[in-house]
Amino acid sequence: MKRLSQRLWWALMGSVGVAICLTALIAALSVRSYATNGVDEEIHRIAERMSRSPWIPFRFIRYRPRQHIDDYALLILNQNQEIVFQSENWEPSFPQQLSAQQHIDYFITADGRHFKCTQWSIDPDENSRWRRRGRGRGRDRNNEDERGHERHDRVAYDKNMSLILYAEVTTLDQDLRSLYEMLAVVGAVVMLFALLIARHLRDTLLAPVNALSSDIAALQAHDIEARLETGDMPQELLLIHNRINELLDRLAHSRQRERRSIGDIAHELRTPLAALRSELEFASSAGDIPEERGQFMQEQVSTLQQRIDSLLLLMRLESEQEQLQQQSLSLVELINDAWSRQHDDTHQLHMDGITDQSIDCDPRLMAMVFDNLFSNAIAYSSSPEIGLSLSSNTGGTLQIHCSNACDGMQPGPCPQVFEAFWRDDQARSLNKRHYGLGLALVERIIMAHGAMISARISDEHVFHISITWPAYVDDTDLADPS
Amino acid sequence: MRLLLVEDYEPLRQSLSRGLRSEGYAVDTAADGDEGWWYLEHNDYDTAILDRMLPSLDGVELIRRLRDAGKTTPVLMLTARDAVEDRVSGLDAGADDYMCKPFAVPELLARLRSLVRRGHGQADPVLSLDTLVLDPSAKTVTRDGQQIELSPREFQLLEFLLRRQDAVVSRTELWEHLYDFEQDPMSNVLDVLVGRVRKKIHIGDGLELIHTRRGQGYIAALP
Repeated sequence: MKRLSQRLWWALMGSVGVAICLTALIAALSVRSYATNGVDEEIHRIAERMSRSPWIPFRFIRYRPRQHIDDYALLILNQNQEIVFQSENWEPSFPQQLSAQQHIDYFITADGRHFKCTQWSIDPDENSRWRRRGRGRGRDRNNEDERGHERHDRVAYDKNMSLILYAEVTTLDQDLRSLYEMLAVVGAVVMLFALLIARHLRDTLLAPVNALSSDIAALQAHDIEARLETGDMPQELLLIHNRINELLDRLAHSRQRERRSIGDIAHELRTPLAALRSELEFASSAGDIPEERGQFMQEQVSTLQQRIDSLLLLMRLESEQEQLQQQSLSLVELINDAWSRQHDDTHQLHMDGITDQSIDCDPRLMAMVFDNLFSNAIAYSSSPEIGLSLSSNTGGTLQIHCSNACDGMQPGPCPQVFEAFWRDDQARSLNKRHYGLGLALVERIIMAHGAMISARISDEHVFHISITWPAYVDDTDLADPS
Repeated sequence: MRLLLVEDYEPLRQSLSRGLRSEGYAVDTAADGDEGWWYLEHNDYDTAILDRMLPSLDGVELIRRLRDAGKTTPVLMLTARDAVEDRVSGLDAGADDYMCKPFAVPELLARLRSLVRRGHGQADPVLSLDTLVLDPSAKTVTRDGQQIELSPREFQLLEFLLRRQDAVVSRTELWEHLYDFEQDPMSNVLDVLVGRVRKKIHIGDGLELIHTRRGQGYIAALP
């Protein structure tokens, strides 16, 4: 995913680059169009006027090169392709009689020189009129005019004559090339400046966004009282800023309400239980209740107290209010202690890959995890064997697998076992030890330690619970550096 | 020993007060923080048992007010909240001990004995004078190794005198620590009680251990 700064950078640079290129292109084309149009108009004007005049040489000499045109060269051919008139600067390499059309324009390069050319077919009707008038005038004229200039011979027009006019534009093309080069250099310099300005603009424009982003990133999940500072926030971002603070307020209120609720629930449930228990114990010690009945009532009170404690612990874990008291513990000791508390003579624990590894955890809560895992496995296993294996991978994670045979459930993942109060027994037959909070507590405790847990049933009807512990200390490595 | 129990949940208040009285304690009860403060302000208790969540005046605030008034009455706080921060805030406010509901009665009684002992500046859980030995936890009294049967009230009287041995204890003081607020202090029940205890612990040629100081009160000491 591209960063916003990158997007803005490319957008700015793209826009500026396209604008500069377009400007340079338009400027170049405009200058070229202006210059070449001027040339075209000029040579067309000359060609047209000369095609209508019998005094071609005389007129030709009078046409001095104008702006953007270095020189003219003229050739007139009759219908037999014989040269009727050829100017002095006519080059033999110039093409002749390219087409029989009324007139054509073309551009050639010869010996490094550039020419704009036009070729005209001379209109016979018009020329015949001029021819008559020209002959009449010609008879009355001498070879010199009144000012003594030498008078050139007339060219007699005939049908299907061709007039070919070459205008050399070498200088113009060189000027245009210089202009293009200059535009390229200027464009590059402007682009460089635009790059710097775009960078400054990007940084300036994104500064509030970056500041907001940093502030949001600095928010800690556990610090629900933290709020974003307003500072010099643009109006557009202020809305986002205020909305985030509103959400944080709501989160904080929700947390406080949740905390109060847990406290209130604890008070409402535990206080009557305390009254019941104290009354029972005072009465038992005073001999007011028969021992057997007293023991029965004491067991029920203990069951109730255990369920209330589990429920409150689950609520605290879910609302992240339970503070972990972590220390490094031997996994083997944890497992052995839990098994000694939970096992009965009819079940056996098969351990695989268990070495002397230590993990950082809350001892009370992790004891609860293994107690619940073993207790569930023993209660619901259809086989006397309970499996427990450890494996580590190169990523530094530790896999803990607990498995037991189970009948009746469909193979596949079964995340529902971690739901509070979930039981496979739909009738929820009252079970003294299992009431559907054990695995829910296991999941929350594992997650509170930053680990992961999953459950599935294999095709062989074996129930697996897998715990992935993020990091651990391998005591075997510590004990034996070699 | 005289206790104050401040608890807003009536069944628990009644159950505890009844049970503690059966253990020989004199128990005053209050249902809210204001009433509890009135009792604490006007009486001298061996220990106060306070609920944390109380109407009108919170348990933590009540302890603060008690300590601000310069009273060193040991306080055992009872609470349904068992979160670490709840325990810490209660102890930081000046509570001497903390118990979460529901609690085991034997543990409550043991903690009360511990608080009473510390309130009197004693470390030894067993009290003795000459050949007289009183064990508050076992509720036994022996003299020369011979078991003496005492009623809960007699036991409390002897325990209080032994805790204050070699010091004169006034009748008012004795009354305040043995009887609760409901009982009439003008009757001669105290004199009768002292006479009974004196008679029970005087075995054979043993020394007289409880003496009357006329106009002052009683003293437990060697003659």
